[in-house]
Amino acid sequence: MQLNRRNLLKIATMSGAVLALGGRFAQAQGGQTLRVGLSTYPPHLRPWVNVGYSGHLLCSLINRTLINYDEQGQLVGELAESWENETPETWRFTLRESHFHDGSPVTAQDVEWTFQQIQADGSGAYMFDALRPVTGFEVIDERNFRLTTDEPLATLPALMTFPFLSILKAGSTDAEDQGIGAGPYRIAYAEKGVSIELEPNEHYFKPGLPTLAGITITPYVDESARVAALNAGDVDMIDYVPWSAMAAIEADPALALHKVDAGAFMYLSFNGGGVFADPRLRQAVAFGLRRDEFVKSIFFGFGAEMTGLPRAAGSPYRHDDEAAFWGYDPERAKALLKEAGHENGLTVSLLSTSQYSMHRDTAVLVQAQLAEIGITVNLTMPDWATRVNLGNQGAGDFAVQGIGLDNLDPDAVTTLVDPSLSPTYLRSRNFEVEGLSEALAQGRSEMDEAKRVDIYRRADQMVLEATTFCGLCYRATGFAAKASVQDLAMLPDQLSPFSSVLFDKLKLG
Amino acid sequence: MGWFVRRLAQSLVMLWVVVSLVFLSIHFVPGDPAELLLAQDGGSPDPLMVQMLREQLGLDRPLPEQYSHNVMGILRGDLGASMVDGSSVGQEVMRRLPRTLELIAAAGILSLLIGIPAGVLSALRPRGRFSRGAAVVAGTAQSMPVFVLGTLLVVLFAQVLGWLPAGGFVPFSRDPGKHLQLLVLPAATIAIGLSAIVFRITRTSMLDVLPLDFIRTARAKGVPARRVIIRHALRNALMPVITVFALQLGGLLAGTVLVETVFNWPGLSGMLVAGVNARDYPVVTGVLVVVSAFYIGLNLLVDIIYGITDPRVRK
Repeated sequence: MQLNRRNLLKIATMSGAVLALGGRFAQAQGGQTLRVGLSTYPPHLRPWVNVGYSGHLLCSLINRTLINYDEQGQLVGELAESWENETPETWRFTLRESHFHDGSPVTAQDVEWTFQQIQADGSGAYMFDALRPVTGFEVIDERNFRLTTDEPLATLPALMTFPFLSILKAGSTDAEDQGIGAGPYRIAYAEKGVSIELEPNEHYFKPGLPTLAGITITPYVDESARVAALNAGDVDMIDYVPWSAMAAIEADPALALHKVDAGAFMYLSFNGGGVFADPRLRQAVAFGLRRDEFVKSIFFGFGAEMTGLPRAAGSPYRHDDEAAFWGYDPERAKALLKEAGHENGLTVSLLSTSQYSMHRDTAVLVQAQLAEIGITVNLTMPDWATRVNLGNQGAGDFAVQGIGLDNLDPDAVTTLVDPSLSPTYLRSRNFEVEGLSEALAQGRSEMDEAKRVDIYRRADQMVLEATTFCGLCYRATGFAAKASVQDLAMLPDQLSPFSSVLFDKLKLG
Repeated sequence: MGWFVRRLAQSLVMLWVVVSLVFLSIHFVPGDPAELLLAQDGGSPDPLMVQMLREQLGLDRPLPEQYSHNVMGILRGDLGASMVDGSSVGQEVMRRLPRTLELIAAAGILSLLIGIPAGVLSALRPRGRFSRGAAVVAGTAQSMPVFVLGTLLVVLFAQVLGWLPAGGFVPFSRDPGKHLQLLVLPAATIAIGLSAIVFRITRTSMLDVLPLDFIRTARAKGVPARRVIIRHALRNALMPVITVFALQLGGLLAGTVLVETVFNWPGLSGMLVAGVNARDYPVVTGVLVVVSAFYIGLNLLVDIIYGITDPRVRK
């Protein structure tokens, strides 16, 4: 075709028509299909491997666990109808009548196969460590099975709620990575890095659910782009709402911000290989920080101060005096420094990362505030990959950390507060607190809740006194959605980043 | 023929050097892919698990062994598998490369459509209002970072006017209209800066050509003004424009990271950045090998064309 003015005009007209039709087509696709803007495309679709919060959102839409938490933080059966502690070391589970995406029933054999995959050497499964105490699996019949543990394990039901402990159809991962789950939706189309389309699972075990005709998930890695997509109407809902955008979303009548203030949290871990072997210095740091400033300046006021251990509000394991243990007390901090022989000041190195602003800004604020009590902090802030590597090698006198909890059992904080566990970048190391490991072990094996409350209170006091963990602040977990998105419920407090387990009820008004 | 073989050999050596440098640099940068894989959003992997995964990924083997495995794979045309999801790097590169090329091509065409006419008009009346105004606009466009410009375009066209989607990607085969809609803003973001460059080069080049004797002769012979400008002046002024334009486009192949991020366009640059962040060695090596091969191939092509048009080069 010769390129002259007439042909150029034809091309322009045709392009305009295609664009206009495209817009209409997109609108027609809307309907009852929920469009979700996700903070990242899951790195892979393999089940059981930790793929982060956004990956978990997809995982929880296509898969189910045996047990789950409800909005009040109570354990409720999912694929498991009931469970009971038969002897201190054995638990009997009864499955409810439920089906996988292909219509086949969920059986005890499927659960056994799932456990075998997770416990296999090199599985890379998130639950590999946590399931080590489970030493036996006995299939009683199609709907009943028995788990045996190497010692009494009160935390077992909570372990079954873990985000990446999805029960899949036996052998189904041979055909495709994600296997066949029993969640409310199944994957209809997925193009890596582009989008994932879900269609409803007509065999889903909850009556009347799911109600949506489908879900389209589009990744928006850049947080501004994600918010812009919601504002522009490209998506109905987004995850990981940036704190900087929360106020504007709250003020917009067309949108709704669903948030939990005491979500995941920021804290400091200590390396006892240096000056922080002295608990007085760790305490000095904890008492020398104004935590309200962390909430205001880093999280735009969307969060909460963390002056104790992460215990959910309303939990019997939360005690008001312990929850407010680390109030700002610069005089006490200076006195502790003096007592430890550092009245003329102390220089320490803080490991963080420049890759994520909340880690970077936290480190800068810690540096500024500790300077006021005479602690000079030198920052080491490489990219995240280097930071993890340095952390695992034990670099730095202390480190900035950020994490959420996997479950609401009091034992969930053990991996963060017990420095005698195997050294990883996430917890304090190179020192021990006498009696702490034993107390935590006792808490795990005690079945009586009243006794557990006492045990964990004692353990918490040890952690606070020894400051093996220094809480800074909670950051709000937020999902934002159009007003038309209904029944968006969230899990309580520290579990809120995993709220997508409740998204089987999502509706579009 | 000997000259051609020599140039080809030089290109292959260059590619080998690039592969070696990329391999060494990514392996000597701190950070362990196994640790990162197991540490998503605060995962706390046991050192034993990290060790098992390292063995599974072949990271426990001596570096020379990993290097030779890497080079042999590339020689066979196999870029390996991603450490994160096990997918074929070659297939993923081939899936993303056309998206980036499409973005660059659309931006390139748009920038030529804006830059060349504006440059010509500006050169015709260098002290006129249009010329001055265009110079100011070009200066602003060139100095504005793409992420700022992109964000402004999103706010204006997606959020305020609601004419275009804020970002994303839909394959052309699934929805051609939506695909083109989604292409407009990222292409325009790149094109605005690029057209400023094209405008400046075109203007300068036209100003050099317009006073030359052959233009005066053409005018004296009574050739219509439009014909003189387009057929005689512009044609001769375009060589430097094409040279600069081609260099700019080449640089965009792995340099559209910010635009791809702002507009959520799943191209090659995003893959490279994700690969670096995850220390996914095969992905980083694979993308850079393809991009380098593309550059080296283009250079080789240009050299061959020079060699054909000017035999002195071959000596």
